[in-house]
Amino acid sequence: MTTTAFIELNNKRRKELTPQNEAFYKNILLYVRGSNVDQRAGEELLLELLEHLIDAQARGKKAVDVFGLHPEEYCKKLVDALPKASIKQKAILSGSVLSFSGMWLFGLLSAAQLLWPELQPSIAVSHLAAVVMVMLLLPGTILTLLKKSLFTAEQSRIENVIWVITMGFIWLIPIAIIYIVPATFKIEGSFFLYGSVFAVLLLVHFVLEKLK
Amino acid sequence: MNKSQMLKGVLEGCILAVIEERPTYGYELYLRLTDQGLQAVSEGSIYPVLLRLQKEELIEGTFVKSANGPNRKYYSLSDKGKQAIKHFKQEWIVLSDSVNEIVLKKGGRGDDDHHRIHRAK
Repeated sequence: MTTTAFIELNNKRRKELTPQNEAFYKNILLYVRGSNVDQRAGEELLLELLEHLIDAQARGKKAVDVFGLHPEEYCKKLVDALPKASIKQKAILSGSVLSFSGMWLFGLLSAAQLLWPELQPSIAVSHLAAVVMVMLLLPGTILTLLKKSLFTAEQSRIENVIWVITMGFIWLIPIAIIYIVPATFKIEGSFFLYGSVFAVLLLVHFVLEKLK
Repeated sequence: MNKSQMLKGVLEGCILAVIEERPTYGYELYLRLTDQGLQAVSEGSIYPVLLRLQKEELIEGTFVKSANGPNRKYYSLSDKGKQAIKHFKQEWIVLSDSVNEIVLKKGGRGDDDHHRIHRAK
């Protein structure tokens, strides 16, 4: 079974859970997926736990009866015992995030070249460096914050709304960087240059996603 | 003393012993442990142990998929695991004999302390 098959099966089987049990289980799922673990081993464990919970539910038990009163502690134990993600896996993940944001950036640039050539839209080396830095640090930071907020007793609605808004606007980051970071070493490119970089990054991203 | 600390190492041995009897999956494993009197084990607590045993290559898991679920992961002992359970059994006999000797026969009973206090007086 492939990792994707595990994820698909998990999505399907999760529908068997009662809303209460699903809420409990989802926290475990997000915690494990957001941790530095081998993805395949993590998904295998998640499906195993899910099947156990479905079984337990049929016996009239609740998630808390199965996984205990301290789910965060329990998740830590699981993650500690799981094999860690390999360097290759981490590189593929970072590459995928980078190629995606770069693709977005150069796609916009080439579109701007095409639509408003009089503005001479361009990009600088400093912008690229900033985008790479932010995009390498951001996923880890978001995951750490997410994991911290998972098991807090009552997540307020406002907090959730802020979270959704942040995630919704995350794609604006590269554009924001262009405006904020001063341009040093400008790359004077044509539509053709930007377009080609876009195409290459698109291809790279596609390949990396397949490798995941 | 923390009961769970004491249980930790013993639980690994018990899980290996149950799997040695026949390949089994998580819930069934839990049932077989509790049926045989190991009541201190909670359902979820076997999974971190199973992960550790897999990491140490003592057991191997195989997922058996079924169309409408349940999809179960069956565990069996590896050759290394068979060696490990043999070792565990030998060590357990020695350990449990000596622990029984010390704890149950010599000074382990709560009222022994009282005797000593009386004698001192």
